[in-house]
Amino acid sequence: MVEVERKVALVIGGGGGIGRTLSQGLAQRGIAVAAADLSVESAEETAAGIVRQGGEAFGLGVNIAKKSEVQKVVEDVLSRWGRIDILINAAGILSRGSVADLPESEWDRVLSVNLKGVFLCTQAAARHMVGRRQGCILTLTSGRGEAGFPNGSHYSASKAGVSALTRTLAVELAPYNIRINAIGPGATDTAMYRGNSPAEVVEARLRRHPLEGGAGKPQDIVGTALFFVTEASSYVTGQIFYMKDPHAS
Amino acid sequence: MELKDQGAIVTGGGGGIGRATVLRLAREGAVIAIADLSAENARTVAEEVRAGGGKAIALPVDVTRSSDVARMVEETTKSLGRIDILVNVAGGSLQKAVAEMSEEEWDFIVDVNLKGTFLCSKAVLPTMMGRRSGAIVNISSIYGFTGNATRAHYSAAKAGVVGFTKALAQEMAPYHVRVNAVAPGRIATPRVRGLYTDEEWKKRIDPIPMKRAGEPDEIAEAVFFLASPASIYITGQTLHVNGGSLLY
Repeated sequence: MVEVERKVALVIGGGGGIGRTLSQGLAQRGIAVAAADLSVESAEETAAGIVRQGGEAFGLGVNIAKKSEVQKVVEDVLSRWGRIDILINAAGILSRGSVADLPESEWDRVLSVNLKGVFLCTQAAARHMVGRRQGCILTLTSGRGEAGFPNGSHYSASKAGVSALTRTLAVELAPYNIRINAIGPGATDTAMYRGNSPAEVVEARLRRHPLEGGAGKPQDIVGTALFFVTEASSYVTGQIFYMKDPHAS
Repeated sequence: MELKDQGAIVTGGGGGIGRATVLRLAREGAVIAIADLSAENARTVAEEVRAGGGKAIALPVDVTRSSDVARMVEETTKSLGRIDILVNVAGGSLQKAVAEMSEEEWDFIVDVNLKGTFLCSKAVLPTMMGRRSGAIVNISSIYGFTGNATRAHYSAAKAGVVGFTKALAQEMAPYHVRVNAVAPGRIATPRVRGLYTDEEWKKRIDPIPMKRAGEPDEIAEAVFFLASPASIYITGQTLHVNGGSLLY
């Protein structure tokens, strides 16, 4: 098997929202992108868009809560391109429910994707990266893991877990020249965000400038993600970097 | 060239992290005022920039004196035309236990690290607010978070830089002027490395998860990120560049 010359990124959740935009941003920097998503059609759509622009990409389907599926995705990327330099964990789900009424199944659903899914993907990619003594992992988290919010106990707990996972693995993987960081973008105009807040709240946020409390666009996150997954951040690891103050309204 | 023709002031630009920052911003096309207590060091770095095809001026500045700072902004505006970026690198430390520390020593270290950041930031606000654009990047320190025996004044001042950064970021958000900080861990600047024997240095590197000190260039990359459009909606934040220190 011959390794491709260009760097390879596996973007989990690459079929939509922030994950799709990041996939496109990586591709524009000459990085080959394997976009994986629960919906294989959406992942293939992301890949097709990149290929149309002259980049290199393919799409895969994966349910990251299932270990066998995660392993298969990593194996598929390796058999195709021989290497994974960058893993971006951009898959996540958001729902709301008061703790008194939250069904156990909903707690499990959110935790299984936002936390266990991140663990499984990171584990599978790290096994490969440890062997090569090289790699960069970036996970999308949320300031809600730091600040919390009413009716978001499951979501906040999952994102706080991501922070702990990131800090721990940064220390554990540093001897293997693997850096791992997380970024919390804050409110971002995606289908997930629009679908989980009252329409008037979303509209008000979208009208405000991001520096004045407004929601950002997925495109605004690309520069930050690129900083964390490239040589520009060669001495940065274990950081939970919030793009907006989690404690600001 | 992401900063083509943008005007930048880098205080403490005559050496170490400041010099690396100057060279990084210049590589992106920024025109730079290098302010340093040492006129000679500022001139040397300005010549380096020019040798690389860039544009830079050297200004002898004591950032703790408001008259010096006012002159710095005047001369920069006159020579470079505009100020889009301010990087507050000027700072320094001396080792002294609190029990032995004189009031003058406290004032000196707090002034150069914290008051200087206040004075220089304040001096560039009118032009940045007027154009509703600009980026200020302050240099804090890992000691602002961990503290460090014999560096109480420096630790307090660098923690102060983080609070100042957050407060100013809030004040400036309506003007779309961004204010962020970088908190370096152990960085192998010639000055810092010179403080220790090889054995002492190794003892300080050992606890860092990445098992090495950082290079000034690695701080410069973080400064460039926070000064550039890549961080367009990031403000009030502190970026730790420390090889994984602070994690356990």
